[in-house]
Amino acid sequence: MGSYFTRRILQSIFVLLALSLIIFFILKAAPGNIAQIMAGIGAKPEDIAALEERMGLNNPWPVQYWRFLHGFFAGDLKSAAFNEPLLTVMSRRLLASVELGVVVILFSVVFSIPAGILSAVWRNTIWDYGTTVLALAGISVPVFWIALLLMIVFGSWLRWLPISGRGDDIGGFSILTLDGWRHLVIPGVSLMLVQMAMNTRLMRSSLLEVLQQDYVTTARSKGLREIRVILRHAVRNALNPVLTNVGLMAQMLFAGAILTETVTAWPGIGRLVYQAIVMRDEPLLFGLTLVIAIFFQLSYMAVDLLYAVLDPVIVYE
Amino acid sequence: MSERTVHVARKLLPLALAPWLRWIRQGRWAAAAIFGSYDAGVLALWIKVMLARPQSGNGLLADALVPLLVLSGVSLLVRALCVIDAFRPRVGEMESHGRAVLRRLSRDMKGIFGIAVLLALVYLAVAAPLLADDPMIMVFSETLKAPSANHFLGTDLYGRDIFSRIAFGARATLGIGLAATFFNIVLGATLGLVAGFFGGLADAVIMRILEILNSIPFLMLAILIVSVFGSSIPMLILVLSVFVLQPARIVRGQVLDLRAKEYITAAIALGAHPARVLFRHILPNLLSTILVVASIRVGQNILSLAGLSFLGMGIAPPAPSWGSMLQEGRAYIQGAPWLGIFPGLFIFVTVLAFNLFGDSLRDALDPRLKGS
Repeated sequence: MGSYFTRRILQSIFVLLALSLIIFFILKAAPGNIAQIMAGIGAKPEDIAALEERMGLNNPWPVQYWRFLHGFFAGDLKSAAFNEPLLTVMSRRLLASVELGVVVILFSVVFSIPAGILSAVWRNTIWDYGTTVLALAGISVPVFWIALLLMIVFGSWLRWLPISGRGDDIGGFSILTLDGWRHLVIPGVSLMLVQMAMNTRLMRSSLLEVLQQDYVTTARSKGLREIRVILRHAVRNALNPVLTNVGLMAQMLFAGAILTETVTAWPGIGRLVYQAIVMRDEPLLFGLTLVIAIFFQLSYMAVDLLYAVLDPVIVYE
Repeated sequence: MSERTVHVARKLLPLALAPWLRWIRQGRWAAAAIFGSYDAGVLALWIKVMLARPQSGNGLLADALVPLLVLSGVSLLVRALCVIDAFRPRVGEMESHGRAVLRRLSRDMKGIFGIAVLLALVYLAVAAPLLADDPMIMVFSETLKAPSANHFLGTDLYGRDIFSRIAFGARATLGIGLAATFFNIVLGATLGLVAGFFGGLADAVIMRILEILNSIPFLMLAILIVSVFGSSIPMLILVLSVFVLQPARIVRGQVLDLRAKEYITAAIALGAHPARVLFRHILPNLLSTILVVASIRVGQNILSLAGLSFLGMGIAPPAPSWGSMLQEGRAYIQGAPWLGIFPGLFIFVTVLAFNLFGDSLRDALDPRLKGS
């Protein structure tokens, strides 16, 4: 187990370094002079030169790359657009993203487990077909369009909910205030629908698989009531894929919410990524890539670990 | 005229003129309804072009000719297949694999719905110049009009007809979505085959590349690359086809499964050349997986394309695209919600149709997987 994770960690470090190099080269391959773009139209040549000097653009690329990488881990790399250390720029956004992500994951798991159990038990009934259709719809719908529809219906027509942004917060946590919750509904629900759809399907197919195993037949032939067989014997084993899926869901919500956060103006990491790209903020983008990639690697490892914990049959070597 | 000629003509003519009649007799209602309405649509276009006054100059005719020929070509192709099928010698009662797949597809509501929607979308995209007005014409007296008889999906900020923009946007959406999927599948399947079949260094390198791509959200990489290198259509196709390599992973897994099968071991033991094993024994078994993955990838590519366009990084305005229409609609959710509703509805229905078709195709290709 230990050696497996040592190998995993080494692999992750390789992936992170390779990725940071790739991103660095994409940024450097961009046509146009970044200093000129940042200085704006009509800037004096000496201003541009000064900016180039300040941003270290005249150094050879290995030096620039090292400056980025070292600056990121030392915490003194500054965002070009906000002119603040990366940590300051990201921390507040990070909190907003985590808040949205945790709420979405919690609600979608809580709703989709019973929904999945029911559609496995009532297989080939209206309920089952309904969840199948909903799940297919869930993976087919552009999430940002759902957010747009919710904004139109609940924000503009009914005027029940605020259209965009994040609400009041207490110490940075907006889930502590009513206003914060009201702002959370539209981005939260639009993200949740897709996750719920996928989790319901996952729960259903996993439970159906478990129900075909011998020990379930044994439990039934002992004369146990069906509800007890399902809830006590089958569901516990069927839960594993859904729980391990949480790690992958977190990935999607944490960074993949670029579109939803942009359309609802939720000040999270996804929107920051978009802003950094639009503003050509190279240091910020470099830092964001690394933060997101580190999070992805950690979540993959967490999933592996969770598998081993939930299912003792799985042993890593 | 010999008796035989008469007999053949009797059998052939109804088939060539109205193959759906035969289908109705066979009880294949869905196929008859779908193809019948397609035929009616093509016929309507011909009538429309024939009746059009020449006042609009040669423009209409030239614009109309290509779509008409393409759409009619599809019609003729289906008829030709029907005729060939009718004269095919029947050997016993055995059903070929292909026919069995078609039969199962045509019995599944999901697949029928998917095919019907996709055919309608292709019709809309190809016949766009005949069905809709110029999507670029701005009429400033008609800005932000709600859906009405004149503009039945309304007009946008510049008085452009939304239906026209959706119809022409369908061309870009389907074109880029299909092209990207094609290259994506070719690349992914090749990489997966190489990694799974040869293993060793090739496998290690390909798997590391997949890991790197998997450690960052695809959309982030896509936005970055498009914003740096520009969002021309070839660039969009490149980004959508190169940086999503799930097909490679799936194909690799399948190849590893197949390699462990006894008949492959037997073929290798008999001294078969690796190329023969690859192309005769492995590739044919991958075909159904690849088809299913492809039909689902089209939908995902269309979603990504819409997302990119929504962020202003896809098809550049003023060219019509569903994603950028939604972005324009974002600003008018209060006064003109139809701007934000209809393009999204088209994206949703298109992607849903591809997913339903893929789902149904999987069931049809391998009924054992049904419902999994």
